[in-house]
Order: sequence, then C-alpha cells, then structure tokens
Amino acid sequence: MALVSLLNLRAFKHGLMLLAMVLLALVLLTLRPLAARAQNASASPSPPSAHQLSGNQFLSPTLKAMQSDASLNPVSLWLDQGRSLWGSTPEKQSCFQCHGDVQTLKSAAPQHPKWSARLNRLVNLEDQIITCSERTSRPLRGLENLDVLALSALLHHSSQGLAFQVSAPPQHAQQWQAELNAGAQLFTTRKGAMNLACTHCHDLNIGKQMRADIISPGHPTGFPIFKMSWQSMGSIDRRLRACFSGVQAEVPAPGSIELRRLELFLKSRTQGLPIDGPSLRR
Amino acid sequence: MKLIHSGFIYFSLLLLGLSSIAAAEEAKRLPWAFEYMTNPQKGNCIACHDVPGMSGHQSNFGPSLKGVSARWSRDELVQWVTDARVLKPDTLMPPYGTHQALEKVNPARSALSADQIKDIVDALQTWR
Repeated sequence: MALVSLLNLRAFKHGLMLLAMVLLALVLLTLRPLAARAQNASASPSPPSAHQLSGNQFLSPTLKAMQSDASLNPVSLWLDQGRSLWGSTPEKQSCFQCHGDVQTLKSAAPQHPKWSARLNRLVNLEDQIITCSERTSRPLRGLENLDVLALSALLHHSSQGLAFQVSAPPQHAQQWQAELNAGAQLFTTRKGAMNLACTHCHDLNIGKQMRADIISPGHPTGFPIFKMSWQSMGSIDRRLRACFSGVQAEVPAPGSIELRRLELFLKSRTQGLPIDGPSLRR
Repeated sequence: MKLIHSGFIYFSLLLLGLSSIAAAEEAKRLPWAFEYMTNPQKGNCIACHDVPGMSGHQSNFGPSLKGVSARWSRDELVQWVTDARVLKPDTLMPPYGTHQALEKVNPARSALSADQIKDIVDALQTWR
C-alpha cells in the first residue's frame, strides 16, 4: 500500500515536471519570433523620414531616368568641361598643377562654406574657385560663370557619398557661430509679399504638392544643379535667390553674406546626408 | 384685370432681362478671376490649392477650394484673400490685398486690388 502511494507520488511529480516543460516550450516558442523581429529591427534601421531625404528623392520619374543616364544627363557636359579645366598633367595654369588629381580635394566641397580669416567672412566653394583662379592668368568672373560651375560640379562629384562637415574654426568660433545663428534666423523669418519663411515649406510641408513640384526638406546635397527651367547649371547662390524671388521678397545680390549664412545653416542641418550632386532639377 | 396681367408679364420680362444682364456681367468677370487665380504675378491660387475644374497636377499645400463657399461667407472669403492673418494669425495664406507688417517685400505693391479680390470671391462663391 505504501509502495503504491509512493509510486503515485512519483507519477504525480513526473506529471508536474512534464507540464512545466511543456509550458516552458510554449513560452520559448512564443518568444522566438519576437526575438527574431527585434534582431531584424536592429540589423536594418527603419527607413529615413521625409526630413532626411535628399532633393533627388523628389524628382519625377522622367527626371530620375534622365539623371541616371549619362548620355541624356546634361550634367555630364559640365563634368567633361570641369575635367578639361582641371587637367590631368601638371601643365601650366591647370588646377592639376597645384592640386594634383581632383580626388585629393574631395573634402573641399563638404567643408564649404567656411570662414575666411583673410576676408573675415564666410566663403562658399564657388567663391573659393574664383579666388583660386585669380592666381592664374585665366581668372574667372562671376558665380554663375560656366567654368566656375563646371569646376564646382567636378569637385562636388568627387565628394559624392561624403557628408557635409561644416564646423567652427577654433580661432574664429564666435564669428562662425554668429553666422550660423543668422542663417537659422533667416530660415525661420517670414519675408516677402507671400509672408512665408523657408521653414514653412521645408520643415512643415515636406511632401506636399505645389502643382508639378513636391516640397523637399531643402537639403543642399545635390548642388550645383542643372535646372530645366534655367536650361543651365546653377549654383546654390542662384537657387536661394530664386527662393527669395518666389516669395516676392527683396532678392539679395549674388554672393551676399545673407546667402552664405543661409547656405551654412542649410548644410549644418543635413545631419549626415551624403552629397549626391551635381544633379538635375525641374 | 387685363392691364394687371400684362403688367405682370412685362415685369417678369424685366426681371428676367436684369438677371440675364447680371449673369452676363458675372460670366464676363469670372474669366478674369481665373486669370488672377492662375497668374503667378497675381493670386496664383493654383500653386497651393486644388481648384475645381483645373486639369493636370493638383496642389495640396493649402485646403481644396471645392465647396469653399459652403464653408465660408462672402465677407469671410474676402477677408481670407485680402489678409487671412485677421482670421488666423499663424496662417500660411499670403495677404494678397495688403502689405501691412510684411518684411522686405518686392515688388512694393499689393498682388491684388480690391476689385480683383471681389472677382476672385465671385468665382469662389460658385464652388458650393
């Protein structure tokens, strides 16, 4: 009798153990897909928000196709001209003579606009190209000069994939910061007869349609641009002036400090987006 | 009795004539309204709004103008176009009838005159 009750007790314990194992297996089976999902989530980051997209993401399918086909993309003509001006041997008056291959200057585009201690102001890449050309017997005149734009296109092309790295120079950090703040102020101040600030479109209404245009976050990663309505390449300076005109505001003169401040602010807010210019725009 | 009857007929014809003239005047003005609504130097409503009857790309920066007259009275529509800040201080709708308290405006004249705004509101009121 005692043996029978001992056997029953053992069977009961085995039953309990078995039940516990089944429950454990069920819990593990439930958790496994969740763990796998968590692992996948950490392996592939969530898609970028509209605020983190380059202007190239907002092109129409036709322009995207044109951009990806070098035989159709007019930008390739500017790149060819840029390569020709740059040179590939240390011949006199070529960029190659001082700088060597263009790839040695691939960090130039991401670092502009930068503070010029000599001029005591911000200079952008096109300003720097003009300054550089003045040391040669073939000085270039004007920000929208086709050769300036061709060299700018080539330098930006060599920087593709790199993020903007605009930063305060240690000796002039205070002035640089004041310029950045002024750029932010310009971005957020209503202006013109349209009474709109940049932020109203490029922060608050990204993705909205204005006829054939879709509003982008305004990240300047794609410059210089070949704009179809201009039928030419244009600098960021020109594009920003077009925005002032668009809201029917007083348009700053080419090369004015307001435009450099705004450019500095725009490039500081790209948050690591890679340069993908030169590119097409409508 | 006959005289009253004839008088009624003539009066009806007069009313009909007057309303036709008014309709003709409105029809004459509406094309101008559409000119202002599509001209970038004027109202250019189509840049931001979905406009009934327009083909091609539609805008959705601002609300659709379909049924706009059911939502707002005539006076309110005039105010929206002239200076929407009165109705909604943080509005993104440009003040087409005034340059008051605007910064760095160029050109220094209002985009639309009071008569042009009236024409536009006439058109808006046809969209119920």
